[in-house]
Amino acid sequence: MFEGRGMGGLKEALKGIPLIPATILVMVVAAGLLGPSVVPYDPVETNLPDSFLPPIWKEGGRMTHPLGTDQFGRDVLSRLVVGARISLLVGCMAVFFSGFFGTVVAITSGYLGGSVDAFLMRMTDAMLSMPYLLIGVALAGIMGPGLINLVIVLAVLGWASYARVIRSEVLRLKTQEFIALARIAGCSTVRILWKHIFPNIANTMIVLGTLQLGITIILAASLSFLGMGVPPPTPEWGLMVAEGREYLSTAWWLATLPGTCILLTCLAANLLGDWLRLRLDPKYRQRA
Amino acid sequence: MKEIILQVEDLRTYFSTKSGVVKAVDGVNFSVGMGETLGIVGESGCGKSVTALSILRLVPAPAGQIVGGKIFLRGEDLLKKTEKQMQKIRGRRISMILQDPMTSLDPLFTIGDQLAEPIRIHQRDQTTDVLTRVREMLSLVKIPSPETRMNDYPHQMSGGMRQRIVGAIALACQPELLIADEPTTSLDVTIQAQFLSLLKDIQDTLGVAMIVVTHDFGIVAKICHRVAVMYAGKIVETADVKRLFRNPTHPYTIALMKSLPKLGVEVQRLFTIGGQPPDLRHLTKGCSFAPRCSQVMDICKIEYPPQTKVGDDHYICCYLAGKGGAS
Repeated sequence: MFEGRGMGGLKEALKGIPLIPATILVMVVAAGLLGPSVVPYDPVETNLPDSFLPPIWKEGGRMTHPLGTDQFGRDVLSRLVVGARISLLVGCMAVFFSGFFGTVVAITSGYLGGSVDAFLMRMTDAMLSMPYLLIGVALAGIMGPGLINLVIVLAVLGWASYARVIRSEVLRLKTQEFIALARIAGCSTVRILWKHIFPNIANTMIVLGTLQLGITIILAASLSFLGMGVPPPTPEWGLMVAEGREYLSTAWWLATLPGTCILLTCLAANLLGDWLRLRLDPKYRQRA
Repeated sequence: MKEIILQVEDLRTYFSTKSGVVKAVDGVNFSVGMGETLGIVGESGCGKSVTALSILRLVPAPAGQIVGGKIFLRGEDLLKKTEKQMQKIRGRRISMILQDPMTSLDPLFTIGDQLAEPIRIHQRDQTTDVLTRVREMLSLVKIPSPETRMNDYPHQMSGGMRQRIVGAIALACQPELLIADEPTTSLDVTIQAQFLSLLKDIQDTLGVAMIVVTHDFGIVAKICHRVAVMYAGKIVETADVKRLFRNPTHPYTIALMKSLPKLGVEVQRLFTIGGQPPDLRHLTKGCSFAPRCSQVMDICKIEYPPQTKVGDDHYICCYLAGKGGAS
């Protein structure tokens, strides 16, 4: 009913968006959505006669395989595109679940305080103090390879940093007088949490989510690299880096190209998260 | 005779801490009538804010508990109500405004949205036209161009305007009692005067009973009808405002008045009350002001003085009362 001034349509909403990161992310998402249906080659089918073809800009490269082929003759471009789907899927799901769980812990802990807070924070501290890669490897080892298991492992590793940061936001909010005034006006605890606390931390959650996406994709890649994530021959970017490692001196593109994809996706996510944070803060909204 | 809206009897609110029980409010009695403003004055830590919170039953638990007394809102004892019942009373029948306007509004919602919230919580079933009501409230607190202003965000308003919005939100459901806890402390002086005049006008218009908690006698003089002076968790003097200024009777009140610098009167040194307020964890027997009182007597250290009437609607807790008042 009461529209704040400066909230126009989609064009207005996307004002100031950093174009390059947005484009990169749109491409990655498009690859993820369309993936297997648009790639020229089957990413897992081997084709040994055509193995180790370099990318098109190098001597010996061919138009048919613009980014070259790997040791089994599989088209790198196709594997990258399908790999995007897996990386994004794993990344987004893991971030969603760890974010959800971490936020619930943070709000409960921060708002209720007392012994609940102490207990939950000790658990969070325990999680944060453990070396995450070791835990990841151990957990993945126990659970076995597979997409769902990877998501679970990543979610378990990620919730603690969410909880810590969001809890301090909640604590800061509790000291603001509008929360006390909401109680004075007759708001129930649930209403305060839903209407006042949650929207005010949503900004932080989103930014944290984009940061976590980058970290999670790298973590997923690391686990796959160590053989603990998605099993071969599934084209996962981290796995591709691992498999390409031994050919670094001869067929460098096998490890470098997927690595670049990981880098660009993380960077794009971070930069967009930064823009989103500014965009969502009412103070930065431009007046029409 | 005005109808009594709020009657507080022997209210006691204690805080349990590791180093002992803090008796923040220790047997407080007062009443407020319709259309009347009661000022609760005292220095920092005397228990005035805790008294205000106790009326709304928002004392921070579990450390803080109301351990005794009765609070009657038009005859209903608030201390016997459940939390759900209190939620219906807060904002609807009793409202409060706080000290810091800069954090008193949610930065994510427009002014209009926040003004509408108490109406949405309490008057859902009634066919209240929220938009009209919001416009009315903004006009009541004299915000210019309410149509455009209601779509503004808090950060687009000055401190004085925000405090007026807070006042409007508090009055949105037309409560019977409004408590203002140091409402002007964060505002600059000219805005303070404006805000106090506004409160007075609103009271004349709506007939709402008010309690103003403050440490500033200037505010008391400007808008209060009656005053209660608090010290160390107890009320030491209650009087009509004119009587209090003309004839302060309790030694603490007299000392407080003496410490106020007066315009046009030159002094070499400002008067101060010697000593410190007592540690509320270890209150001694007898009158809590005795260690600092210039006219202390032996009996003052033995037993706390009972409330005595020293004039028309003028009460003090002091043994000097019987001896024709303090000098």
